Amino acid sequence: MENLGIDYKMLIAQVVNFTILFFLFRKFIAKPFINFLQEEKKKEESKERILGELENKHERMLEEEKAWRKKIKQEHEKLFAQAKQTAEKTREELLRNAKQEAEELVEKAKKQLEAERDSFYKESKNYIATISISIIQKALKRYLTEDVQKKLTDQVLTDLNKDRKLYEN
Amino acid sequence: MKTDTNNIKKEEEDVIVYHIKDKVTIMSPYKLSETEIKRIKEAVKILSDKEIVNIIDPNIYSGFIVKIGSKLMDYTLNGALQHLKQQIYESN
Repeated sequence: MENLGIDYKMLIAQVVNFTILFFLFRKFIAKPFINFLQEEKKKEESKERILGELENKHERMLEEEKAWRKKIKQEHEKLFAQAKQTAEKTREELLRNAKQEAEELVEKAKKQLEAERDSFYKESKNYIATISISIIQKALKRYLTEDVQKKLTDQVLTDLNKDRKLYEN
Repeated sequence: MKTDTNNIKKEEEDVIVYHIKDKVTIMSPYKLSETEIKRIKEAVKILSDKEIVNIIDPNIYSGFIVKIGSKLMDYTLNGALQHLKQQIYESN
């Protein structure tokens, strides 16, 4: 072996050195590095998981928002329809009331007009009757002398006697 | 004494009322003649035994009003005119 240039001692020393180096490398460099890599891998996985969760959450939130918007829209439409219906009802009621009030006013005015017309008619009749009688009275005053009055009294008595006889028979 | 006085007073009042009831007033525009009063008595039987007082009322145009107590029997032209006025007023 010596002829081959191999020094056993050197070889053993190198093997020991290599073993020591191997153990040292493994203990202080390779293992922490692997640990570091594993930690990094775990962190990456964790990040990906969180990101996935966040994405899911975001999607869920988007869906919820969409559903909420839809619901809001439906509520809005429903409220709008209700408001429209109420407004229509109120409008109809107002129109009906206004119409009724107008009819009542017309009826009242009509009655008032009729009453005023009747009153005017009565007053006119009374006035005409009074005037007519007054004219007759004035004419009679000029015409009625004592002789005429006596003739009229005689006529009244004749009529009264006639009536009495008729009544007695 | 007081009661007796009151009784006497009441009896007097009754007599006065009796006479008033027995008295008939006839109002006319001129003084009625005896014949006319007689004819009135004939026409209105209830006046036959009543005392007639004739009052002249120039507001009466013609005819006469017989007044017995608070009752009036109107046979005047004024009454006829009032009746005519009422008829004109009540006509349509």
